[in-house]
Amino acid sequence: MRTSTLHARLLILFLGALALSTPAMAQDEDDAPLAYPDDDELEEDTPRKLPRRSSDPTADYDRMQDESEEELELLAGSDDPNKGFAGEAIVGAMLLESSRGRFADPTLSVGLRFTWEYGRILNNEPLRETLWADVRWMMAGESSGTELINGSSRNHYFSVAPAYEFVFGKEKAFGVFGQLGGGFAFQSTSLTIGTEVTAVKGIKPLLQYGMGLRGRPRISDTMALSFRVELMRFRRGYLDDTFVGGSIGTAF
Amino acid sequence: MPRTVIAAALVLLAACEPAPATPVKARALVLSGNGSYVTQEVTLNTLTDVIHMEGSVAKLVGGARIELDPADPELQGITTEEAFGNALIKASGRPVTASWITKDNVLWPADFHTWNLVTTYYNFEKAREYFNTVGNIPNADFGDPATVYYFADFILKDTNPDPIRDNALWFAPTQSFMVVPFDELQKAPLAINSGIMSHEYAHMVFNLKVYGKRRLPDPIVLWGNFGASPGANLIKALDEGLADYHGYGVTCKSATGCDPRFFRTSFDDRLSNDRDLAKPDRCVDAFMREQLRNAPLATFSGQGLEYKLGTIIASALYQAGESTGQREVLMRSIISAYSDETSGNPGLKQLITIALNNQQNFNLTSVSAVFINHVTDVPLKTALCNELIDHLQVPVTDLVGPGRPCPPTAQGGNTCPPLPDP
Repeated sequence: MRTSTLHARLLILFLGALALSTPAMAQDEDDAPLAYPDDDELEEDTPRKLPRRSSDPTADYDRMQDESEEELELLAGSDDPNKGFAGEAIVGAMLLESSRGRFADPTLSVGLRFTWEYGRILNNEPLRETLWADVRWMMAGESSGTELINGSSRNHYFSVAPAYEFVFGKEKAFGVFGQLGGGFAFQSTSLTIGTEVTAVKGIKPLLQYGMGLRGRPRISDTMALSFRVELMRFRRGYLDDTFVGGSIGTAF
Repeated sequence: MPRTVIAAALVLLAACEPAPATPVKARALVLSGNGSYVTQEVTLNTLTDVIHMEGSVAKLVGGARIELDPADPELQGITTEEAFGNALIKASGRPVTASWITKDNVLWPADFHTWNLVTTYYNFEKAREYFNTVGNIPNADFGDPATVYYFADFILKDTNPDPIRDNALWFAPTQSFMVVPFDELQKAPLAINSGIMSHEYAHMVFNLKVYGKRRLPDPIVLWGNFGASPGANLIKALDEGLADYHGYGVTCKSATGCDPRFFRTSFDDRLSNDRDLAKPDRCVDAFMREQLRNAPLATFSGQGLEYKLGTIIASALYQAGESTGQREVLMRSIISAYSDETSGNPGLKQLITIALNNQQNFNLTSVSAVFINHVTDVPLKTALCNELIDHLQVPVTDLVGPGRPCPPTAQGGNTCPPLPDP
């Protein structure tokens, strides 16, 4: 048969090539072939040690289970395609400290926020999705006065705020969080008298603290919807502003 | 480490609150020479709490609600004036919180209301300074800082169930000022108008000196309850007219000088013209005299006649002071006439006591005599006599002659046509 003949020829050639092969020409130390350990030598010096066996028949099971969990922790996230970043648009009511002495001066507030789940780099599963931090910008303003004399003021809040979240849900996609951070507030105001405008700007330290509900339900393998409802307090210098609102965006 | 961080944070937060030493330098709204308001650095000599706008002259309180409702059950059974005043305060409010930006050790308001607040305090401070320096009233006499209810809800239930808008007032029952929100008035807010706030401060001084700081002054409560209340009508007109006159006096202490038409930056031309002190031909006419003598206080006030008569009185004082170049002397004399325990030279307060049982004795003649008797400068006294005789239609024989307060040279004027005897 043609096939058997071919196989036979190839076999002869292969064996011949082995027989005629010259000694290896590359003889640097790096390229030198590795020697197998001398089994006889090992056996002569030290007898082979067998794994110690416990008298408790359940001990090995416990040990294996612990080892398994540790491995899982170390491998956590290897199957999570998300990077732990999120971006959200914020909208809500800012209850500005009332200069006129009311409970508050409510006004619309908008902003942007970027979140990083820095707990992912700690290689600790309980902290993996519970520790994160925001970089946030928000803006709130108000206007008042008469036609002749009126003022307009804007407050810009810039903050960095780490948070701790108690996650729940099947995929740990929801949680309740508390947050504490700081930054600075940029204030600008203009007073218009007739056609004359007087502008004033200033910066104040900012303390941010509050709590809220956070959700990250997955909408694809690599992306999740990210949203929050929050009650956040901003201490702007000596003034206390309170934000009640929410945000929505994506996490990836 | 955490303790250090907390301590540092507390220090940081404490440092956030501006706490400049008195006197405080701040920007406020001040009338300029061209008749419009400008932002200007001012010195507040008495302000001690820049956040809550409190000092020895005034303390500003926001979010208050004061309601006067005759049917209010809380007012029933009340026996003291203080309890009455307190029962009107339905919400006592809270201190205002000024928002500042500090630049080169000067406080800049960071929103409209802080501009309004600081200018309000500044205006009250200037008014206090006027009554202290021009009026010779010792600072100790003013007592505790005056409460100013800023943007308060003030409701007079029997006239309107809704809060009053577009006004500033001294309210004796609560012994406090009120600056209520603006609505239809779209010119300079009343709190920014130095003349108007000084007008209100003058009401407080009138209450302090003439009414003895009473929340429910006798002349109003006792005299005003009669069918015809000439005494109550006149004292209401005096209160308004003298407030206008001293409001004008405070404008004279400003960099821009005297403004006899100081209402103009906040009100329309009609009201500003009606209250213009420099208008020389204001006269008590037959209708005014009849209403003054015979109308009940509610009717008199219901027509706004206390303002009209008050402006005539203030205008007469203005003419006397300006024509002689003795403006401040006259202003000081008028304030000294508010209360005078000197035997044989009663002030208005003492005249009220004398006339308490017969308000007919509190009239244009007796009041004019009190003023004239407190002027020592003869030319000024003569000018004052002439203006009062002329504009208030006081018979010459009531004020000139043996035992009368005016010098013989005073014979009245010819601006106002004499009214026939009633």
